[in-house]
Amino acid sequence: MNKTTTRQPLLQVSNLTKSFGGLIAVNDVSFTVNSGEIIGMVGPNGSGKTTVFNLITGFLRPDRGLVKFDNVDITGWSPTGVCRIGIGRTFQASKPFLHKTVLENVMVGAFCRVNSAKQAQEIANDILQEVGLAVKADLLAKSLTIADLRRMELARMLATQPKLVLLDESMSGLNPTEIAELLSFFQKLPSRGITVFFVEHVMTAVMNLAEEIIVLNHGSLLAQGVPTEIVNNKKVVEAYLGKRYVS
Amino acid sequence: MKDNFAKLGKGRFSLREIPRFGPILILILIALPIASSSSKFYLSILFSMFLYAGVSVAWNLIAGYGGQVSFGHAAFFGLGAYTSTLLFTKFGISPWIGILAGGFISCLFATMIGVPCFRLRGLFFALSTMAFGLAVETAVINLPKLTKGSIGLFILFKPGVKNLMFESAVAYAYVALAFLLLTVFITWLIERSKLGYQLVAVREDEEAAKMLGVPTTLVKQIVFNISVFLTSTAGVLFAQYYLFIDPTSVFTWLIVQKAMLFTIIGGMGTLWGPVVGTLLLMPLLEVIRLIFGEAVGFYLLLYGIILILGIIFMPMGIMGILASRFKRTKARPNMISSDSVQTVLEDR
Repeated sequence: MNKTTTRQPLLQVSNLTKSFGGLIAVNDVSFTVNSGEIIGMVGPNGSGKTTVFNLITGFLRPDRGLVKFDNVDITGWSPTGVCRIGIGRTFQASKPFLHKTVLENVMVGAFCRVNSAKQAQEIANDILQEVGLAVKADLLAKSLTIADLRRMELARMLATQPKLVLLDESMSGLNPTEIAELLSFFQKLPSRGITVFFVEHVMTAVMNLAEEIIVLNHGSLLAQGVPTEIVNNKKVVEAYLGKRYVS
Repeated sequence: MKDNFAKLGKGRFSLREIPRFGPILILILIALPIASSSSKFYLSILFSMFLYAGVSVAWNLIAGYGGQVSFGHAAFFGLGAYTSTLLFTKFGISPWIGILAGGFISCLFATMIGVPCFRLRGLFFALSTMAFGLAVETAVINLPKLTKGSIGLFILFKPGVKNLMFESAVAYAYVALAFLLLTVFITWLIERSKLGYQLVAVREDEEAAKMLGVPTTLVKQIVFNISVFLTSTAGVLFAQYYLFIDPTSVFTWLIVQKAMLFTIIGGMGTLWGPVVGTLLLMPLLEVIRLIFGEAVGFYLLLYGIILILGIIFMPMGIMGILASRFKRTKARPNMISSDSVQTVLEDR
């Protein structure tokens, strides 16, 4: 993809606000993800990253604010509708269909776009090949390792043919080799027309992958910029390490 | 090489298929003597065995595959029986149409239960179906003008295919067998369709299913409606066989309890589990009922004990255990080498 071409805004989040009782989990957050980008979202524990994902994907309804995808207002849509319009998502804690095989898990994703089981199986087989799980297609999901579960969830999500993927800490629990493998896989996604928006704690992943980083703290947008800017941002350092470390 | 191997896994008959088609053989073996038998007792047991197996298969659709346990299937059984009987006795409408009418009314009520309940998770659905079962029974008892209340309804015996009534008990046994095979066939169709995959996904993890574009509420509702339609059909067959229905016979808790017992022992969420469970347990329980006939309710106690033991010691049920025996649990052997080599190459 030519990086100099002007990128179209794909996901526009404006003034997103959600509170649980007295706790404001997400406070007036606005940002834009352009198509073809890889954007990372970081922030200390409890800063509202997963809540932002839940608000975008319809698991939670925002108190205020707008979510626009491809210029369609999808605020308050159900997860099913959000998936159908082209947003895929993985979860922080794996949610496999344990008693089904890997192939059948991925087929459920493929059924988002096709009706025949045969077609779904073909799509699923292709994607399993891509993520390197074809060998284990006939295994039950409950017999997979964490790394393979992550791969399967990725495959399942890609089978829905998304334009934008939201990855919620898909590297947690993996070893350095596995992280490197996934990193190179994610880097290839924009060339297939898939925009990546991810939450991650593994900093090697964030620094290598993200073109731009969004920092959340206490539910508010703290900073936004390219990775090198972010690590030198005083407010970010303070949020993570405390005032003492701000030089 | 990969393509060749992928082809091998599909389509061809293998040992893994035994748990799927073996029970057909058993059914045929049992069904064969139907024609030659003249024992009214034997045929009557066969009839109710096939009928309850069919109800169990229908219950398994929503409870086993969908994970939505219904305690209200007796109500749909009774709705079918009452609808067709009333239509037949009051207006002379054929029970075949009664099957459709009863099924339609059952689906209507199922939708009324499903629309509020399927949006929620947890016990709401189970409790609502239970309440619905009790409510329908009470309503039927308290509408004597329409239903003759606790007295029940008689059907005049007018044999003929049009009236779904037959001189010979053999014909009834075959009708029940056909009904059973129909329920299994429908389950088989659903199992391998988009609907089936989505249904199991909902059972396994509803949030993940939603995020993969599964319209969870709709999927549950469709399958629940199919399940109650079949159950209501069983009710019509019951009425046409016994030619007498009253609230205690068609709304009894025993219908749900049997369906649960047979399905859980046979294997929840498996195609043949409910059939195998019924064929094994029902003759056993009939014999026990005969032997301990004087100790009223003893066989009910046994139902409970078997159910509890089954849930504790073999939650997967007979077919579940068999299926896991035959299911491939190892990686495809001759693909490991080529695939891992490719991964290594890609990394370089």
